[in-house]
Amino acid sequence: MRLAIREVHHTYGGGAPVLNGANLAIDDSEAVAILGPSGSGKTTLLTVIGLIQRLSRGTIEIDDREVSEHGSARRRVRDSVFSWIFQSANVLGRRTVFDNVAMGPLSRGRNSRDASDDVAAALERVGLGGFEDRRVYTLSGGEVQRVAIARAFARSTPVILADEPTGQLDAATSGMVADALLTRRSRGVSILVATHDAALARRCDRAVHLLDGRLVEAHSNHESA
Amino acid sequence: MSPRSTRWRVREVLGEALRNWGAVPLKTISAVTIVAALVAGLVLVELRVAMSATSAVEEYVAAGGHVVVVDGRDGVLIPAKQCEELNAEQFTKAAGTVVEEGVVEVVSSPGHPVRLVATSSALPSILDPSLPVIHAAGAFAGTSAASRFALSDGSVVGLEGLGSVRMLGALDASDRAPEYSAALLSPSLFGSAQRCFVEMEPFVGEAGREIVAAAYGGHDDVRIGALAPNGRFGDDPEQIVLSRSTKLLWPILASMLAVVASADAWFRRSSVALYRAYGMGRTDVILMLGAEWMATALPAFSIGVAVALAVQLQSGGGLTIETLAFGLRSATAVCAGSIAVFVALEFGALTRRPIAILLKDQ
Repeated sequence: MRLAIREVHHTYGGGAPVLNGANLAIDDSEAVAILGPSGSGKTTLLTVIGLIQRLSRGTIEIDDREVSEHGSARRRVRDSVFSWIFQSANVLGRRTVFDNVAMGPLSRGRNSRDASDDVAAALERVGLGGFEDRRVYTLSGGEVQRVAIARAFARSTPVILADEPTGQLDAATSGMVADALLTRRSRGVSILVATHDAALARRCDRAVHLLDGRLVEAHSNHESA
Repeated sequence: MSPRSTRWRVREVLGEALRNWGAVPLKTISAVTIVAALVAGLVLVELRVAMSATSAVEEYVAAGGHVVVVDGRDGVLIPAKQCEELNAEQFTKAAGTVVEEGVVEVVSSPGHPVRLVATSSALPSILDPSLPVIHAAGAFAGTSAASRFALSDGSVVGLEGLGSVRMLGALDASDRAPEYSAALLSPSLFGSAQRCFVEMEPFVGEAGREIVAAAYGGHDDVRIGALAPNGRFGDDPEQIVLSRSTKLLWPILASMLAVVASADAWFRRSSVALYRAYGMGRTDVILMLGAEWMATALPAFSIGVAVALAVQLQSGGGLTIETLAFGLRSATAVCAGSIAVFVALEFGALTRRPIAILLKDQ
């Protein structure tokens, strides 16, 4: 699935524009890192692309078809194309790992029984096999992030949007989270990551800088690959 | 990769509600306990009020001051003599008859007909206990009629076709028979009775009706009315007592519980954002939160009502089917009301917020 944004603008209230003509295209199985200082609008860019925030101006295209700004079609696209890994508020802390990961398949119309296999497979992929019955609040920060990644995997959408997935983790744990996240490319999933983590950005196929509301290519591993 | 269904199944939404409900047992148990205690307290108050209403009615009837009304079936006139003779009975406070009714015009106010009620001499004092029994010829004016025609005590009033009549006083029947407020009541003007009012002495109870029935024994066309459980002809003491019950407290409790439940949901808005981002529509979120509240409210209300009944029985307060039904109706209504208010608040305050804003709220 090819995802593209063209001349996207976004402004909160009457303030200065956070996004000011941003352009980006992401191909199938591609991982793109969005870099930028705090407050530069990385999260806003993700929420606009993920259709949970309306843009002020511009277009979002999926497979070269413009996504409507209104109506149930927009919601259908949002729910069938994107999975989320948020920086915080990422999990239901008092619920079990199974319950959290099961949100992925349940949100796609599966029932609890059928979701079990998806959950087990997703947890295996992020190295949390056997954690199903653990309460999330008993896990470490890295394990919690991997639960969120497993949930995104179990949802089986073509695009994963991750907002600072390694933001509060040490280097070793960040490495494990990045491993878990980026393996999904082998299934054709595109990944868009907003991050400050240079190591994670280097492991992505491309990195772009968000500067003054515009996206500027930072590096690409495609040429070196 | 083709998009699959993007909707949560209703069963899974309800399952989420139950799992959220059971996720923090201490909080859930505390919520059920608090709500149950509030409901138990209020049901107990309600039961006590309802029971006191019942005893108030019983005491009221036992204390007398009630009235038996006798009239003829299908408008047939009744013998006035038996009614008058009841004044001699030991337990009768007063007995009087409405003899005949008609319409006349006051000479000084042509074109304004007024109701003229011929009565026995005792009836005005039954309708207005402040009046003495007067055996003189004349008429009493109901307060409204007195004011309308400027009738004063002792004045002489010309009635079209009936000659002149002396005003014996104003009759305030607003408590006992307000239908006579706009009428002139004239004792001993005519013959034959339409209706007999008998006011019994205190503590007579049902025996008072039997006395009246005995006086009219043998007259098939006479209908002896029920012993009216009210000293005032138009009021029902049961309704008066119930009307000052706790009915305002129930909606207050319902709203209070709904607001508390909504506040709890408000502090979970990051979870709501997560559900919304993971495909749960606004309606599904409302359904989930409402089901969570119902999972607390239903057991809490059941426990609360059961505890209140147990306490009521244990304390010897007694129960009647009516009071029990009253308490249960109130509890059910407040349960449904709180859920309705909760859902309305959630819809207005929480689920209408964009997901991105909910995420920023965290």
